Amino acid sequence: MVHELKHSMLATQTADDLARQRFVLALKRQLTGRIRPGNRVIFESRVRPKLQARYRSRAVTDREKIKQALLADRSYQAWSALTRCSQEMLWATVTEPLMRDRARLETEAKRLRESPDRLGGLELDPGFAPPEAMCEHHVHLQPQGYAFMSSANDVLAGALYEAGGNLYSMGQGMRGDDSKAGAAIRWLREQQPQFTPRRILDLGCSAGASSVPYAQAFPAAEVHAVDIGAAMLRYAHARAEALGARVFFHQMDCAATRFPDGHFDLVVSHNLFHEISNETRRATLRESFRLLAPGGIVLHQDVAIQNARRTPFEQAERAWDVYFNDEPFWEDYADAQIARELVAAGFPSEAVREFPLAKINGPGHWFAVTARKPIHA
Amino acid sequence: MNRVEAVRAAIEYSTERRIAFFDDPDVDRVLGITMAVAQEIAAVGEKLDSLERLLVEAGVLRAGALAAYVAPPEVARERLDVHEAFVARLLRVVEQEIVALRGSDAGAAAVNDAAAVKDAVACNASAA
Repeated sequence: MVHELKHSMLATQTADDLARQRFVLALKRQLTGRIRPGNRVIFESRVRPKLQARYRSRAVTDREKIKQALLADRSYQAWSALTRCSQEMLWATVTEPLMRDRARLETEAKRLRESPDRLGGLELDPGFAPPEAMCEHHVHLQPQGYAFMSSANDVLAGALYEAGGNLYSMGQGMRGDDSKAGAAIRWLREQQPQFTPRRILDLGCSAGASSVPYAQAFPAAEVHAVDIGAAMLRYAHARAEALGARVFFHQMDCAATRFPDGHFDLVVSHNLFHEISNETRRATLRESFRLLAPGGIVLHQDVAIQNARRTPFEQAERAWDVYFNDEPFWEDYADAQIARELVAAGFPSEAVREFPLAKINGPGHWFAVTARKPIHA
Repeated sequence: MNRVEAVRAAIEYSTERRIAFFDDPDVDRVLGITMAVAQEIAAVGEKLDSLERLLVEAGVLRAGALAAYVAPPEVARERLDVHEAFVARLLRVVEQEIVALRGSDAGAAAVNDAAAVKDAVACNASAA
């Protein structure tokens, strides 16, 4: 129920705010569901014949040339401009109510953080410098970026991430009651009914939307979550407290945490890998292996955009987000062979499994990789 | 923070660069403005819908009465006038081009004046 949850860390919205958001949602659904499939028609009817003529070849396999040729097509330009515009509108629409409510949200977060009845915790590291890429690139075009912090009590990066992310996901066709962690927890319960983790780690937790369901599903377990931005984490912690969930948030690099070896029985990440470089992803997989106790389980979930089974046109068309939604690692992730990387990180190949993870209510599925650390490693 | 300040704060907080997808970046700008207008129309539509529902709840209107309302001839004429005035305002820039082409009145002078000012500015710039 991630996208429909109500809690005290959400901005107060007027009827006009909600109407504007519904408009953005309708616009995004139209662009994604009705107009975007037309890109294939544009390619087949206009772009492919042009490329074939220019390069005197029947096979058009170079995705870089396809990207260039698509961007020169007027209909593709129109879809691109409208899609970019819809993303800018999304942020403008959710930023406005947050600006009106900013002071209250900061006070509420502080109250929850300092409450004697708090359940979890927040550990910020003043010496921590977020990775340069996350400061330079404003992923999803989030204003000021994911890791931005303006003051000692700032929570805006997290509040924006949650409000914008919910609207974005629903614009992609996701249902309001979908939950990435919910899908992973259901899978774990089906596949490993005896598995009762004592300590759980959520890597790259953002606003904590996936951390909270683990605390709720495994109430006896201690749930920890790490991310890079102080304003993001301050929000995530307040949000978890407001929802009555016991989660301990830490400002750390997911590829090099400060937890001891073998500290966790379950290490997860949700939609993290498409936001980090190849190098960071491989280091994060090694870190997952180090952090797991013998017999522990790792489960990484992300979007199902793997290029291995896609045509050069599909790869080129999917890469739009790299350039125009400020997703620098989107294509690297789509090209990656993550199951192999898990083996390279130390997991025995027979313990590694890559599979489509069914969504709670569809449509479609997530990409997931999982592995169990041997009892005698 | 009042409502204008909130809009301005949101605008100032977002420093994302604009992207020009079309050959002429002015087209991208116009598209952005058009979509913002469309969003406001959608918001007005919701407000009317809320108003109708509240009136039905309060027993002032019967459900469906608004959709079933057929304007009597004098109201229909009045509405047509309102629409025509709206369309005239909307298409003012297009109409002014035609006025200028006729080359006979103030519209033409306005366009010519603007061209003369542009020339003068260009001269000054190159002289500096």
